[in-house]
Amino acid sequence: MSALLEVKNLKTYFVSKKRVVPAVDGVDITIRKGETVGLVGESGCGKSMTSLSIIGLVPSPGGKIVDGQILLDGVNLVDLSENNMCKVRGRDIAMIFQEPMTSLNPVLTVGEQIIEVIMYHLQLNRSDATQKAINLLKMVGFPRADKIIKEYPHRLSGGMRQRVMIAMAMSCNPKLLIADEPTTALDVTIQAQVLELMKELSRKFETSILLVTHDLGVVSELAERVIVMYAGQVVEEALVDDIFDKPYHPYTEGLIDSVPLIEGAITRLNSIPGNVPSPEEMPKGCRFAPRCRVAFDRCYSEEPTLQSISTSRFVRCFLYEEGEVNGCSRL
Amino acid sequence: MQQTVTKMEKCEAKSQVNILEVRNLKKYFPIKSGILQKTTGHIKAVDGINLEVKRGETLGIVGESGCGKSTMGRTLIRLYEPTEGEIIFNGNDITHLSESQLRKLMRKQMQMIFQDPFASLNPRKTLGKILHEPLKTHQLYADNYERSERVAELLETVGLNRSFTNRYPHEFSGGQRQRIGIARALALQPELIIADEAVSALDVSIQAQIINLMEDLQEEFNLTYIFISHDLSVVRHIASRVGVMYLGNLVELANKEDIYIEPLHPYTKALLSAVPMIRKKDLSKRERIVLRGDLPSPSNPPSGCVFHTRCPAKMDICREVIPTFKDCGSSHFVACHLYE
Ligand SMILES: Nc1ncnc2c1ncn2[C@@H]1O[C@H](COP(=O)(O)OP(=O)(O)OP(=O)(O)O)[C@@H](O)[C@H]1O
Ligand SMILES: Nc1ncnc2c1ncn2[C@@H]1O[C@H](COP(=O)(O)OP(=O)(O)OP(=O)(O)O)[C@@H](O)[C@H]1O
Ligand SMILES: [Mg+2]
Ligand SMILES: [Mg+2]
Repeated sequence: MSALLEVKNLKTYFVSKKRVVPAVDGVDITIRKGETVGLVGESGCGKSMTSLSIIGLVPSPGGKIVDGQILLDGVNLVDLSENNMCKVRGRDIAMIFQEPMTSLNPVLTVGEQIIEVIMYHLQLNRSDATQKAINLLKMVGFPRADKIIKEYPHRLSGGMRQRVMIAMAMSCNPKLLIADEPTTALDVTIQAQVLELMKELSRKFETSILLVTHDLGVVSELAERVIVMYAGQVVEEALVDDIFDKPYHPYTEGLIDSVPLIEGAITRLNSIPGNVPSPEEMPKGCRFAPRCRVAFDRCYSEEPTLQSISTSRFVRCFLYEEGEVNGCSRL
Repeated sequence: MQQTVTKMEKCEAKSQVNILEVRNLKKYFPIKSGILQKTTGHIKAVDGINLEVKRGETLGIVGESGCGKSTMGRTLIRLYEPTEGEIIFNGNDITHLSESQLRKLMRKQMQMIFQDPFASLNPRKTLGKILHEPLKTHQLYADNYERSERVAELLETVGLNRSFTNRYPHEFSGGQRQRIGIARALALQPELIIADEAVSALDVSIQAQIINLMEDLQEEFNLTYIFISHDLSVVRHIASRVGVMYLGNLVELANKEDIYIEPLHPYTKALLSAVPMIRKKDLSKRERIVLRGDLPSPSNPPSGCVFHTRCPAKMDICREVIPTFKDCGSSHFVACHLYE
């Protein structure tokens, strides 16, 4: 399968007179057609900035892509004018945000908002667009879709709003759907509805999904591949079953071991000591070294690179130099 | 005769282990409308809860957003005036006590940890001041020096540096702020702590630190927790007993093992089946029950069993008759017609 999205050495910085914050610092991501990739990591590691960079919505002034390429079907989005990027957004790449209320217009009905998007991107007339909007809302689980289009966002529950957002995002059959914490604000029962829906849509329309979340359970439900970020960089990348089975990076292992489970023996949780470093106080050497249980001298002086272990597996850690896999087995 | 004595002793022993007893607790919020702000209805946020909490245990409370978990917690600690029912704390009925009586009987002994400690920490006060104040209000310790010592000790207990006392809340990370919230709750050496979504906003790594800390403190000070959370995995980890709430009421209450291994109520089953799991292949394959529809409005709850509008096992009776909350054996309580 060929790559739909290729992000190469992406650097997105916040620059002010006082300081430079390297929020995304050399990230590579490849997503194939129809594939769902999970992007995980602790708060502040750069997940949202990575996704906003891809869809061309880095907050400005202040934020800027300072280096790298974002290739969608071979076209470098970084070079596009704002005008052209506008056409890509919504048509080729759509995004769902954590809090749908902030991205839905409170003074327009749900229908008006979806219809507007459809008319703009698909050049349909109003009555065709309305019909399409109703079909979309049915597809995301509103049996009485013709009523829902007349509702204002604030009259809907969190789960309903998130489903409206998904309908809107799917309205132009995007090639890539970026979902930034799509279920974080939702309950488990509603979360289950939304996850089922996203699974079904990606199967039916071969939509690629970049799923941004700090919930490893959600990733394991939906994604085929996982990319773990720490302090603005990718530290591990693997197939979803491999990573939960046998994490390579001590950070990934720490994350997985911190999750309380819904089944199995209850033991004391393993926590990662300390906090994520702030971007302006990045430690020398490996950025995770000060919190790492197995760090050794070299980790504090030299920065590790992302090593390829196999075709689907990459890790940024000195324990695995030169494809040596026996370095660490569930340390 | 012999028997009656043992029965009476049992009764007494029971009220001693129960740190908290809640009977038919209700909290309604008025809905006002029109220019005259007339009350046109009520949001039945908590609608008749019965509960006993044993000293030293951790009672987990789970349920969907809006089911009334926080309202229950806030009513128990008397931040809200109960609409109806009784709250008995350490054998004293505190339901209608005045603030000065409350201060004597429970303000010190019952504390709350809030979901967002930042919102409940005064941004213009240093950490030292924040922790000092409750000690002063309750006239604990002889002088400022002793109180400062206690503050330093508290910080150490929750794993913060003594030197942090001069810092302001915004200078701390989310995990550190949650520790401050815990330190503040511990300051008065309470017996019962109500933790409302105390770890929900945190990353898993920090969440694990806080859960471990709470477990250690419980052991050290023989604390009792009411641990409110919508995260069933976290509750499974920390709780000894679990209550499941739906639309203002408890639908199931049992020992943790019973709830997680053999849930009875269809709602509990659906909740558990919806939890996403990591390492799926190691774990048992569970059939996912996807509930249709959203939580009904607490101002106009469905007739009969309030869950019947979403229940996959609905029967005719469920629409008409309210099921009673009763013990199905070994203190496994459930409110469902399937078990009548
Ligand atoms: N407007 C801004 N100015 C300066 N720094 C910023 C700005 N927005 C974000 N950052 C910094 O960029 C880094 C990455 O932020 P980002 O929002 O991508 O994190 P995240 O991984 O999405 O976290 P979360 O899980 O909390 O959403 C953080 O350290 C953040 O402080
Ligand atoms: N002060 C208030 N005035 C009016 N209604 C309220 C008030 N507080 C809560 N409610 C309503 O009572 C119901 C229960 O709310 P509550 O905050 O207790 O739910 P919860 O279970 O804690 O939800 P969450 O998981 O989202 O925190 C909701 O319908 C809410 O809108
Ligand atoms: Mg984010
Ligand atoms: Mg709440």
